[in-house]
Amino acid sequence: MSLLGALIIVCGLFFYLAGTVGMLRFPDVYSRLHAVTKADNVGLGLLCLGCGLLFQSWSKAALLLVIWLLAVTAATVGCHLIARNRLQQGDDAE
Amino acid sequence: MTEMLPVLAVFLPMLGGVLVFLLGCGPRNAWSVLTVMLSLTPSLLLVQQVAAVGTVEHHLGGWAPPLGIRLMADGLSALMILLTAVVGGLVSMHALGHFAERANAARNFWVLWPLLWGSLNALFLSADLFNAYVTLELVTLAAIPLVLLAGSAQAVNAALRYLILALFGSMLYLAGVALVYGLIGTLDMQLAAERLSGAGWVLDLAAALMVTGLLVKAAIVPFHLWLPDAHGGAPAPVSALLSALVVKAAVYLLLRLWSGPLFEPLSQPAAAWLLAGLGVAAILYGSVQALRQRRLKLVVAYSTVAQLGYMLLLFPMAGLLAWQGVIYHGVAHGVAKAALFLAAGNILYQLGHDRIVDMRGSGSVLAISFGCFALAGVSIMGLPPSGGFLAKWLLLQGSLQAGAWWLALVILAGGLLAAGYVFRVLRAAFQVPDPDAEEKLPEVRHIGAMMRWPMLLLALTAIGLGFAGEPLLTLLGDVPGRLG
Amino acid sequence: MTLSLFDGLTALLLVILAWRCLVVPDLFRGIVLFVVFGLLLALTWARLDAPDLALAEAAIGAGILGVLLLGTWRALGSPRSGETPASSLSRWLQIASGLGSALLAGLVAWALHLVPGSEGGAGTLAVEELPLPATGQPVTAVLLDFRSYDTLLETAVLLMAVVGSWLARSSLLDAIAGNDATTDTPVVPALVRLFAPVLLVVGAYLVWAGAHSPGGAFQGGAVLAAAGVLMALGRVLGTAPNVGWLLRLLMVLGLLVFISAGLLLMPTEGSFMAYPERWAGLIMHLVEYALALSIALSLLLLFTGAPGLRRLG
Repeated sequence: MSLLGALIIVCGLFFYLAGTVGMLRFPDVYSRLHAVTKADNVGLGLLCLGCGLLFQSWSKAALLLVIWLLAVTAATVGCHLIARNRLQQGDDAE
Repeated sequence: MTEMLPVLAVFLPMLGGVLVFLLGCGPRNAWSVLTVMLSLTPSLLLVQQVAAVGTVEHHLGGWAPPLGIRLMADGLSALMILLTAVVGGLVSMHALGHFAERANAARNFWVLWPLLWGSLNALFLSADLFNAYVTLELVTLAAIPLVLLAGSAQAVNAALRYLILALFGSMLYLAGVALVYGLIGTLDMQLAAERLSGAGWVLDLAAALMVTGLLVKAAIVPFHLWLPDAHGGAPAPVSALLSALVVKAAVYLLLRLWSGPLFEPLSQPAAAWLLAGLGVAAILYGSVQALRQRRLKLVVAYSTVAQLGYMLLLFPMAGLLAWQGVIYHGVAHGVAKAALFLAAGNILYQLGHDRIVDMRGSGSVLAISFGCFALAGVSIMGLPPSGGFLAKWLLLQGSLQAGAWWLALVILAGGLLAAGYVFRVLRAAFQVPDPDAEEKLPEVRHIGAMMRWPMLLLALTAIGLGFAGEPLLTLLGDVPGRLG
Repeated sequence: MTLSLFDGLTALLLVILAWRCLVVPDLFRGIVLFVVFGLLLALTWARLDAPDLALAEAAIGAGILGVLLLGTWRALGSPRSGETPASSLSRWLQIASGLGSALLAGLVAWALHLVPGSEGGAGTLAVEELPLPATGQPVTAVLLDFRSYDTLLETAVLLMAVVGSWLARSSLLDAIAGNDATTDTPVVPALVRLFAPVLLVVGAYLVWAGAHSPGGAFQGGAVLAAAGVLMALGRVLGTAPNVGWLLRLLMVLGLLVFISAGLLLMPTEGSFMAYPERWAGLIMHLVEYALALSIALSLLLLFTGAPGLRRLG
């Protein structure tokens, strides 16, 4: 079980890495946003899942699930606001 | 009842400030006046108690040091609390008149000033190194919004500069306190004084940090940059409180540390002479700047920079006479400076400006205000029979006793320079207008009794202190700690 | 090995972030770096086994302070990158102050390395006294029992700060007009409706938890303030030019309850802030909740900038 947990956590970290590389390398705001939010949401989800497996406790797993849900919601709204702001201001702000 | 007085002296003023915050100044300033009464009563009772039975202590929360915090009122604390009560009480009366037409400013003043009063008392009663940091911080953070009562963009500028430098100073002080706690595991000043000996260079570093922090807060040259604008730009009652009490609070803490935990590092000749050197620089630089200012309130503000320097002359003399002289100088300067600022504020109010060159001939019209300015000036110059004279006399004796004759020269020179900037103002005011020029006497606004009497009483007290040496020095008692 | 590598990296990153935060020419970037610095500092406190400080740093240092700085940045008219005036200090003065700070930091670090530490000092004695009737948590015991006087005095700072900020604003602006948040997307109010209740519960829990585990009035108050900030951003709360009496009362509630508890019991207990054993726990909970409310409200008012608050919808 702990091996599985560790494996999942490593997978999650890979998504984080991909998201970070994407944010640094992608050319414009929208694709950077895409990289960060998508990859981080999955990454955090896997991290929480892995930790839940490692802890072997239902209550902690439930807490981790709540953390993931809250983070995903906040990230979604943040992404929406940044993209929207960008759309309204146009590309001259670069 | 007796052992509750220190606590009441801190929290009754603060409760008064909260009361005004909730209810406003009240009909006919009822809540403001009540607040002054709430603040005065425990302070005066406490002073009387200390005079009668000696040191009063209170262990907060029932915990004795080193676990808990101790409040202690000894002679020095009592004297400072008395100074705060006298100056604070009279300036409060002036403030009732000063802010009469500005309801909003009045309300904020009566929230902040009682909080400041309680904080000052808390600082004078503190016997704990960290608690002293907290109270010093409270004093500063209540004083800075008071500067903002002037309501101008320049005031915001001055207040921000004050804030940034003051925070820098408290950070240094706090770092020093952390080192002291690391050395001996206690924050109580008396325990620290007993355990802090032979601690080597770490203690020296801690002392350097704490003292530098306090010098910034006390606006000693070269850390005086924030003072003239803040004190010169604030409304008159605020300037009086800041110059008479708030900067003095930092110097008080420095003297308290010297007589207790930091005696060893500060008594090394190099440290003592360095501090005295800063004091000399402050006296000379502040006085020369005061001579050069064009606005009356800035003259008075720079005079504070100069006068604070005298209090640093203690360190190389380190004797009972010098100790009494320095403390008495603090008290005498507090009263005289409050009188000067109230007089300058009244002159500004009556003339509508405080440019010294344009004051020609106004002396005969504003006789009372300029008279009070002159009376308080006598004490600042150190001429007999004023409080300033007594303080300088003690300091001169102390310096000769310690064989530091050139400090005596500096004290005399400082008095001469002070005479220079006081007489420069008076000369401008009482210069007889040229009869041929047909200059009209300036139009002046009338000031009410509430603004006239406090100024007059403070100026008379400044002179009267010349005769009150006996009881006040008895109250002060011996040097607490090592020299005693 | 791994942990010391982690600690070393954290320390290095802290220094780099602090450095970047100071030298970056763009104010906005500086603020973002400052927030990241605060979060990393919180992590450092957690590594040093000081969860109370970690919570406080994350909530106040990174959260509330970051929000206040961003609000100030917006009020400055959000200058675009490059337009921010460079520091007015001359190059040499910058270098000199940097070297001076480094020297001082080095000296203090060396001194700290030499001092014996507080073994047998007040801290050790305090831990030996635990558990007290009111709490078994060492940090809470120091803040609300051994040195409660310091905590009480610090509470007064908040009142001074809020009054000071009103005065500064009224000196610079003609009218104390609060800047109500503008939002034209339905997503933000929806998020607020979802998050605000959660934050309120978390804040209240943190205050309650302070008696036995990390948390307390300051951390809880900061989280409650964050809920308020969110509601202001989501146009649930708006600003008003005047303070109502209820708001004033709530702002000084902590101070009032704290002082009254001490003063009222002083005649029977003999000293200020000594509480009877049976009631100590209850009194401290009351004080904590009152403090948390006052802290939250004061921080929120520092953010909104106007004296009053009103409901928008």
